[in-house]
Amino acid sequence: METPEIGFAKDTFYLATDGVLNSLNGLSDDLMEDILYSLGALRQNPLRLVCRRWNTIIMSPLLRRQLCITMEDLHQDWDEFYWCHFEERPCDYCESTMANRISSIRALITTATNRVIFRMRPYRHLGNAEILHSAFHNDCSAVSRPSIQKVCAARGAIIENVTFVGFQLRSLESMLELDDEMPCPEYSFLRCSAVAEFRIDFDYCGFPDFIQVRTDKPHDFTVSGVELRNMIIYEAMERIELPLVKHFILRFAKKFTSPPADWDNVMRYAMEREGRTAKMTWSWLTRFIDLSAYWDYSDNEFTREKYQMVLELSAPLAWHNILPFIYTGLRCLPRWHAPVKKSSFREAYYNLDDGILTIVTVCDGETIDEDMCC
Amino acid sequence: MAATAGPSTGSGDVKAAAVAPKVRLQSGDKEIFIVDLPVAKMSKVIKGMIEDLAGEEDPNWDTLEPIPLSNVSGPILRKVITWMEHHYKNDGPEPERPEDDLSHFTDEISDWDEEYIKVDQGTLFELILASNYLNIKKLRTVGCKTVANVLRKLSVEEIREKYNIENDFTPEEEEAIRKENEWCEDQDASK
Repeated sequence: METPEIGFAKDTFYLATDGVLNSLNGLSDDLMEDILYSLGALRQNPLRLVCRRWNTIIMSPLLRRQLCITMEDLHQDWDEFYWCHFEERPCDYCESTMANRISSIRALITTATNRVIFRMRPYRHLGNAEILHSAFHNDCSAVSRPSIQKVCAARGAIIENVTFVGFQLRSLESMLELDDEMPCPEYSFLRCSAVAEFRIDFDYCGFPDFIQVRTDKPHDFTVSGVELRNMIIYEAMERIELPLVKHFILRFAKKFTSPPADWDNVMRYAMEREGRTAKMTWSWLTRFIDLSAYWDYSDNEFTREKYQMVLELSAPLAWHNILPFIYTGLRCLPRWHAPVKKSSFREAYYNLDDGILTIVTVCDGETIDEDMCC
Repeated sequence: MAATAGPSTGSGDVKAAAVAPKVRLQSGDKEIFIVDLPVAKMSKVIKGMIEDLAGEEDPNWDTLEPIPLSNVSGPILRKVITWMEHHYKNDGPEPERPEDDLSHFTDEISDWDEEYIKVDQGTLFELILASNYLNIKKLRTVGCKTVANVLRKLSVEEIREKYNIENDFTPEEEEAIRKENEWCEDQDASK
């Protein structure tokens, strides 16, 4: 048999192989993923419209690669979840030392979920600009959110006079110093939509079992008494870092506000690719929630009844409500950065002033591709 | 069973070929190819098989059984061997990279590869499948990128037609995705 020449497209024998795969969808998920991945983040997005499978594949690689989760990992992350920084300054409006310390909570709230990340720190009123975080000085603008009505606490105490302030996202990202992270459209659903800071006037001595902040639907969240205590402990240990927050992709403030249309399938696909069936995932989630959000076996006062009460107060824990909650608990690392060699790289620049994102691909020192989006 | 000499790329530079032992590869349709051992080892699957067959001692390569590659047809295996020989002679063995290393995605397709991969659609698919089966990452990437380059030039409707893909979205879902994609459509229009 003669050696075929390179590029033997016209050889009838090879043409006869046509039909082995009569559709590109005959290729395996791995291969399809590589093909679509080769297009790059921006160019592959329009192809989500080709069919459900493509949409799922385009939306899932990051999840599959980066949400490598185990219970231990998750719990560890959760332990590092709390961040609290307070200054030893007296507060006029509360008498309790404990309450003094936690007189303010900051919450980072995603667009699609509740009880995601919250921080506690001394109350800092926006009127006192000089004591705001330095990153807020230049580009922060406060917006009030009237949909937030009240804060309830256990033990019959109603906490009133809540001040809720949302900050524009870009102030948040500058605060978190995310300059070296690769932007990632697929993570848009994880983006924080607001930083909430509300004031709580504790008009009693004692510690709440939990605090629930009722807002418009996507923004409800609950802080349990255990979590409140843990925050104080963590603060006392001077653990002022909040690694999980740094793993969030927060750059895409304006354009990526809605979760993907077929999101359940995307997540199931991602989970199943990792060997987790939807059933296993659900079981795992239930345990995760039990362990992390409300339930702590070491806390005798936080009983199952109270736990049930929290659940009743909260929105029903439907699948679509739970999913975003999980994502935030997982390790959401920045996107692949494509380091091939020093002269070849891909970088993204997000201009805070005009909101334009530029993704530049450089090969051997020469810019070969430059994508911009507003 | 036809004994077939390994294809030549016509290059006078024979890196280690004079002393390298040869192995026999058997395609799914029973065609035998005789290939230099280091070249064959560019496929991680073949490399693993060789190590399994050869054991720890240096074997007698002439009497070693052909390595069966039942998922690859003769013509496609020939084409793959052509690729491996060329790249072994010109680039040397592919460096070991961790499984999750994605840097090859940014490598440019060389002129030779571009010419090599100019095949009909069926052959291209089979090459991709073969490179995947044989675990030749670089060839797989070349194949995937080639398909991606075609996709780049086509509209969604054209892609569906060319690649025989059914649109299984509901109009509402399609609309939702369109909305999410507005940002990149705007950008395309501005170019």
